[in-house]
Amino acid sequence: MSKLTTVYGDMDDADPRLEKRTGTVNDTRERTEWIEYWMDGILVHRSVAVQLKRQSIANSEIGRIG
Amino acid sequence: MNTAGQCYSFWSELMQGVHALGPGTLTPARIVGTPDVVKAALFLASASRGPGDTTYNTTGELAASGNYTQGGVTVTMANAPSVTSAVAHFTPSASFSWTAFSSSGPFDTCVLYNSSQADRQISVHTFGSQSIVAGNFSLTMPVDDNLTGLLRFS
Repeated sequence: MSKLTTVYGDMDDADPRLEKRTGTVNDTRERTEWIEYWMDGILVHRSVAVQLKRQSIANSEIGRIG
Repeated sequence: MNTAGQCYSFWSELMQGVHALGPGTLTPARIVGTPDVVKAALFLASASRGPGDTTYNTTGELAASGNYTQGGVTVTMANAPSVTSAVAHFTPSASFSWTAFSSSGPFDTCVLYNSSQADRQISVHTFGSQSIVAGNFSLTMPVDDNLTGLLRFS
């Protein structure tokens, strides 16, 4: 059991009224994990962790002399 | 045989403020050995942030809520920029995280800017659109190398 922040204030995450849902998105740019807690059809908590993978790179060039 | 090109070390040194090219009108006052303070802020998916921006401002930033404060969080920079396989790269040395807040809307962008140098913007990073409800958000950095480092020049 641990404390959970919700739109109704802090709750015990083991409260039987809470329904826990989780999900993951994993592609070439990021890995994202989210966790939700619902109570009586209302989303009361949603946290997200995003792991960045590869983003754009800046290429350089030089001008020609002469 | 000679080879034309910008020096790899130059890119790394640019990130560390070693060079001040031009007439010096933008050369900032610096204290030797004192790094600038870089910050990371979150922006709504409906905002219009991009590489064309020059200066951080709050237009389109998440509204203050819980532990989210406009202006963002200070970026930890324990490691210096370096060069690997002809690519100069730099990556903050710790994740960015915000706790116990509700986002004022879906957001998909993190902006890095230099709060020590008139809030000049450094980079714009996007990810899948997210919403936070009385929860936490963390943005974990990629591996700091020539392939995935957050800022890379080649």
